[in-house]
Amino acid sequence: MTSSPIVTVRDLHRHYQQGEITVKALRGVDLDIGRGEFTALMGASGSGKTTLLNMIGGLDSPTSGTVLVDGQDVGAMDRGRKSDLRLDKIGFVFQSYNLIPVLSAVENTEFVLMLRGVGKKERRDKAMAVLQQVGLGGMEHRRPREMSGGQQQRVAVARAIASEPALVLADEPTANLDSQTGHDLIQLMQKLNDELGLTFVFATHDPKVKDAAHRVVWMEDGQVQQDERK
Amino acid sequence: MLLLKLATRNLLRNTRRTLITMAGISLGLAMMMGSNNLAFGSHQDMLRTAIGLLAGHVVVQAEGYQEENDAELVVTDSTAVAEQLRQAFPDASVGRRLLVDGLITSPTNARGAALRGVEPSAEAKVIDLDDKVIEGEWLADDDDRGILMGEEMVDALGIEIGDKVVFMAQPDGDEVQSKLFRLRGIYRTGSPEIDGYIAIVPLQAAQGLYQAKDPATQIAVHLDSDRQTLPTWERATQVVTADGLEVLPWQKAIPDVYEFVKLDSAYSDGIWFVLGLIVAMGVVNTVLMSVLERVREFGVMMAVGLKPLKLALMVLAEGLVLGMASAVIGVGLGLLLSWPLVVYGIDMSSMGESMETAGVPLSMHMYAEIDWARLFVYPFIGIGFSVLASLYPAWKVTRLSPIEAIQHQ
Repeated sequence: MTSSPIVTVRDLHRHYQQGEITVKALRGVDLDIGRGEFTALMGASGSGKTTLLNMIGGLDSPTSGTVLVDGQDVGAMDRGRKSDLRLDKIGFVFQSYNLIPVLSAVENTEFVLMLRGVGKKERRDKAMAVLQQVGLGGMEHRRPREMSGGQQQRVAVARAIASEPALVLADEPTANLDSQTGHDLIQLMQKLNDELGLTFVFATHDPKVKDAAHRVVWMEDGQVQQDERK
Repeated sequence: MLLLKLATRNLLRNTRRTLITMAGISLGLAMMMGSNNLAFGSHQDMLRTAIGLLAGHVVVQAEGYQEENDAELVVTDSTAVAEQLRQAFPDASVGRRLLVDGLITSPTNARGAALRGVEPSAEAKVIDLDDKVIEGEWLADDDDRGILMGEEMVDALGIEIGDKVVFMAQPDGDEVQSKLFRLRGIYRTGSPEIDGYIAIVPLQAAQGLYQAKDPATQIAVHLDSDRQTLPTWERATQVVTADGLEVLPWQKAIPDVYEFVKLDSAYSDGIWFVLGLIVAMGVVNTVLMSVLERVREFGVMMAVGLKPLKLALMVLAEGLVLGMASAVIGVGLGLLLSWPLVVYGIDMSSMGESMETAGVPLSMHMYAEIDWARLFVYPFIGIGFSVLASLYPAWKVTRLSPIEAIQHQ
């Protein structure tokens, strides 16, 4: 782990208006995430972990406070710059895999590389190699509907890491998987963290993720309650 | 390329919906092509008849004749002018006409008539009136007494082939001039205005009614193709240098016909534009439905870094692919639909013997002609409407928030 954090969150608030009620999803979160960390955000539903993840990923904007990703202020960015940030620095893994159903595994994986303007051959080679890395060698040309949930989530991981992002944000990546498949997936991400030094931040309820994480940040009512480092 | 591949595959997700929309665009295009080719054929037929009968592709007339239609305004020394034109345009057919209104009398009756003095063999090349002679024969160039009349006029005058008639007019000067003719042939075009009013005589016979030297009302240059009209007209204005003459392209010599064709074309284009919009509504529906079904996917794409503009381009690409595929099929179907209309046409003779538009007698058997210049425009019409119809769905996806889109159920 290097000294400069990849993510810096300061006094982060996120309020939603639901009719006349103001829902305070985040209430002054302070958090630093170092490069190469394998961090789990834990907490009950509604504790604010997914909201925090969305803030870090530039998918949502803070009501107040600051989110810096690799030194860049996400809250101050317009939509286009946020897109660029996500494209260049962040990989996402979602609970429901969220692959593009009309694209094959390799096409899904190379999609981000295409957006980054990587040439056809180079991106295809890279995508094939990453799929091999996540254990999907031989399944490159299958469409999502021809794959199991675990395999689809591996493709999602491959898509997230193909462009070698500084940060991978994973929102409940094991929630739709059976226990063994979830375990395998966590092992895969651990391996990528160990071998490639990728930074992972999970929002999860899964104790297996908690056990694997180097650091567990417990959240409650939109605030960090406890920050455990192993 | 991946965006186009994505667009194609997205369209194939709901094959039935895509095929129905494609059928709408393709059939619309095919109908448009068939109908336009029929209208084009009809317009071309009308123009060929009008140019042959009433003018030429380029005409030389006395200044002021176009506005005043005064028989006194003639081109004098017309042989020399015609010769100049023949030398300048050796491939064209150059003919002189002398037009004078007057009275034709037979032993039993009299009738107003428009006498057309023509060079018979030259005239026969540019109008098909010689084919419409139903009794007797077309005029010979050296027949100074021969006259050809429409069936209706012959009936009104109560005469037969070989009978004498006298034509009287006051073309130039104060004196009434008259000339005796013998009926050589009777024609039938089906147009009451022509069959009942126009009598044709050799040019030199009509010239005998004039005091002017070698007069002609118009010297008409007939070309193989209308495409040569404007360059020929420009050149003719340099060739014809005599004072008091004007050179006109057919568009100015027969403006009523030109305006009618333009207006009729614009009218049918307008109707097809409206129908195109209706078809476009179908495309809007297809693309919008397809977009609304994929909001979550769009959210993911935005999350991984796809910018809203590119997302919109992806949706437009779906309209483009839909339009391109439909255009290819539509143009193919359009040609297929036009083919029998070109070869066999539509026989409307059961509706009457003839019809007349803007003073031009039209055949009751309409044939389509392929409008090659437009053939390459049709695909762009199909593609254009399809892409245009995708603009709204494309705009809608640019308004999506990634987080709301990902959470969309």
